[in-house]
Amino acid sequence: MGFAELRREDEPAAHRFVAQLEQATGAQTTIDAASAERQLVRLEEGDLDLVIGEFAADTPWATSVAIIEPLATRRAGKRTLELAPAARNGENRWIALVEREVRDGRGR
Amino acid sequence: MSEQRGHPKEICADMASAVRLEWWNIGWTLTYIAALGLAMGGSQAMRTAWIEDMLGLIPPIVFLIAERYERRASNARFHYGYDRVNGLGFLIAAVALAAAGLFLLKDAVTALAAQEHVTIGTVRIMGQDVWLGWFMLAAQAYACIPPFIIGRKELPLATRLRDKLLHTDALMNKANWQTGVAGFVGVALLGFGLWWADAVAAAVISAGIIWDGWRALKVAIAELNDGVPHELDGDRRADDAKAIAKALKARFPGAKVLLRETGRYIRAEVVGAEPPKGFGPDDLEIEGLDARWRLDSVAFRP
Repeated sequence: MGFAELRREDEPAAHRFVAQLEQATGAQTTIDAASAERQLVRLEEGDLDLVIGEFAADTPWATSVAIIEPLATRRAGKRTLELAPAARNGENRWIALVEREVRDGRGR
Repeated sequence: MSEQRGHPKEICADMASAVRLEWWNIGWTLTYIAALGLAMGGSQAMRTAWIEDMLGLIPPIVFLIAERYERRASNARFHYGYDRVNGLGFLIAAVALAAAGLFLLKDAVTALAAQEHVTIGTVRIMGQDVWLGWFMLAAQAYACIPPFIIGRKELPLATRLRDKLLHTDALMNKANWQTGVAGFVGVALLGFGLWWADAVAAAVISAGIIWDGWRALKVAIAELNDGVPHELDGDRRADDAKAIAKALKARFPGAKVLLRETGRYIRAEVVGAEPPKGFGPDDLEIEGLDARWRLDSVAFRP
């Protein structure tokens, strides 16, 4: 998994979500942090399973990767930035699982 | 008819049925365009089907406009009336049909070349995560039904009215339900992980649509270029035209008979013969011409 230039205050929410996914899948994760562009390219190439980062609602990456529902949102000027996980396009079973965990996490 | 107001009485009832059917066509098409628009999500195959369905609105709208014009009588600007508006509408419908096929092929080839993997997520409804593909499948299934029924109802009317525009609309409806089936199969197979299936199905179906569009375009261009009347479904010379030519040649031996099509009507010209006194097209015995109303006029060039 990859973190994309997360703000310090967003890191706890991102780590909590990764822990939640580990519990749901029984998988061990390794996380590395890098720039958003680099992480999304790696995601697209299949080198990463998930990237968590802050994305604008109209990001041009929206068609190249599957940006899932947000863990948190905040206003930045005229835009809304969403702290959201992103998966590789077409990985539909995995995307459905991540969506379920995001929604379940909101109720906690 | 050319110089008079309205349609020939023999086809008035069928024209009224065709107009009613095209209003229904537009109404139903709008409902499934809305259903597909709400359900399509990120599916490329469904987006293609959606845009194609919107192109499908062109023939019925053009038909309704052309029918209104065709009813008008001739005037100072248009001495021969508005018969050819139907032919012009036919050209527009043929272009729309060919464009729909080309658009479908382009999208399918692009999706295959780029190896586009479509994402279909879920939505939470009353605590349950439901795969959005189910909504897409339901919308696609619904979108197949109206064009299938309306297209089948249009064919016999188009044949009786000798209406190529209506016939092209029937082909467009055929294209729409076939694309709908391809979209349905594509989304269903996507659920099983076969990302390429919908693009391959779309490419195969697009070939048939392009072929129909190309044939319609050839006939439409021939008609606007004063070509010999053609059958509705291709470039075969119309049986009505053969019957008229045979009758005129028998009545005026040695003369040359020229035929052209203006919309649904046929105009004949007899070259090298004097018109008999008081001669009118209705005086001519024409064996094998059921749609007698089709012969609009016979002109003479001695």
